[in-house]
Amino acid sequence: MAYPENLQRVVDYFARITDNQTRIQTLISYSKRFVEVTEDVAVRPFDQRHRVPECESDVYVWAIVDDNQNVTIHTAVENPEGLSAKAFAAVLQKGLKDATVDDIEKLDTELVYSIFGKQLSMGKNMGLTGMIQMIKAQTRQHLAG
Amino acid sequence: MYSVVTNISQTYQIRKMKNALVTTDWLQANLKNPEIRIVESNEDPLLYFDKHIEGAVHIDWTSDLNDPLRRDYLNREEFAKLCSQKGITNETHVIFYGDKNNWWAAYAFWVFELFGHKKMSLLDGGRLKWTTENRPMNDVIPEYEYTTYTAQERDDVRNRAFRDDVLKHLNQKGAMVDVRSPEEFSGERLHIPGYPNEGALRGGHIPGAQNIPWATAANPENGTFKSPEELELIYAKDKQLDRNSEIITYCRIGERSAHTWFVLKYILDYKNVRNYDGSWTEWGNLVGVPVEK
Repeated sequence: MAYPENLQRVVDYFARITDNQTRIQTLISYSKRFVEVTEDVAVRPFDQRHRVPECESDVYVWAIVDDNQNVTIHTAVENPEGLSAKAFAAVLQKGLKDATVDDIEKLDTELVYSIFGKQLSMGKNMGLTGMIQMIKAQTRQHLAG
Repeated sequence: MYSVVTNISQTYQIRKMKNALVTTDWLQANLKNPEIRIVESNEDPLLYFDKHIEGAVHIDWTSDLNDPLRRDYLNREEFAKLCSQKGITNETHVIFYGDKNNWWAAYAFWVFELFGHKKMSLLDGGRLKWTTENRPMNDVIPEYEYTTYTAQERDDVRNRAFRDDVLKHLNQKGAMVDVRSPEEFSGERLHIPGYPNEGALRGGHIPGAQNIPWATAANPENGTFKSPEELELIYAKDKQLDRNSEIITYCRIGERSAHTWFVLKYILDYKNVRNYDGSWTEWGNLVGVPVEK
C-alpha cells in the first residue's frame, strides 16, 4: 500500500518501534499535538453528519477538498478521555498534509494497526477505522458533487 | 416472583454494606492508605501512561487478564503472579477505576471476582469524575514490593456463564440482558466493515434477551452510577427483572456486560447474575443455535 510521502514517513517510523512502551509514549506525544477543528470550518454544535458513528470518543471529521483536489483534514474529539482518537487524528493531520483525493482513496484501514499495533481492542479499532472511512466517504461525496 | 425494593434506604444500605463503590472524596483521603491498591483499567490504551491517580497500577484486559493463546482468562498461578507483581495481597482492598464509565474497570473487577478476591470496589465516576474534579494525578509508574498472593482456583460457576449454560437457560426461559447497542441487538450492525473475522456471522440476539444498553446505568456527565432508585426503576420495574431469579448478561465479548453484572449484583443486590463472556462473538458464530432479530 503506497501512502502519501508524509504519511508513509510516519508509518515507517512506527514500524521501527519494537517495544510497546515506546509506541505508547510516541502516541501520547502525538495526542498533545492534536489541533482541533477551527471555527472557520465548524462550530458547536457540530453537524451530526460529520460524527464518526463507530467511535466511542465522540469524534467529528471534516475532509475539505479544494479546487486543486487537495484534501485538508479537520477533527474534533469531544470525549476528554479520547486520547487515542486525538493521537490518531494528529497522525492523520501530519501524514495527510497536502494529500490529494487520490491519496485519500488509497487509505487503508490497516493503517490503524500500523500505528497502534496489533494489541488494539476491537472497539478501539472500530472507532479509529471509522475515522478513515469517514474521511474517504466525505472525499468521495465531494467528488460526486 | 417480581419484587421491588420499596424502601430505597434499604438499597442504599445494601450498597454501603457491600462497599462496592467508593467516592472520589474517600479515595483521595485514602491515597496513602497501605491497605488499598488502586488499579486503573481502560479501554483507551494511552490514558494510564499519560497520567493516572497517584500510586495507581495498570491492568490491561488483553495482556494482563487473558490467556495469550486460548480464549480464556488467567489460571490460578497466573492470577497469583499478577497480584504479586501489582503489590496486591489477599487482604488488600483493591479499588478499580477507568475510562468510559468504568466499563473496563468493571470487567477487571469481574475477573478478580472469579478468583474470589474479597475486598474490591469501583471508584464511582471512574477516571472522568476524578479528572473533572482536578484531583491529583501523575505519570509516575509506581513500583511495589512483590507480595505473596495465594489464589484460589478460578470459579467459573457462580459468576460466569458458558454457551451450554446459556442454551439451558434459554430453554428454561430464563432472564437474559443483552447490553449492546440497539443496532447490535436488532442485527442491523454486525461487525467492523473490513474486519469480518472480528465480528459474527449472524446478527441479532439470543431469543428472550432484553436489550438494556450498558451505559443506561451511568450518568453521562460524570460517569457515576445512577442512583439505586433510578436503577431499580430501569431493571426491576421497567424490565421486570426478578431479583431472585437467575439472570445472564452478555454483550460482544463480555466486557460491557460485566458493567451490568456489577450493577445487578452489587448495587441492586440481585442474587444470581452470571456474565456470558463468550457473548455475541461466540453465539453469533455458533452453528445451530437459535437467533432472534
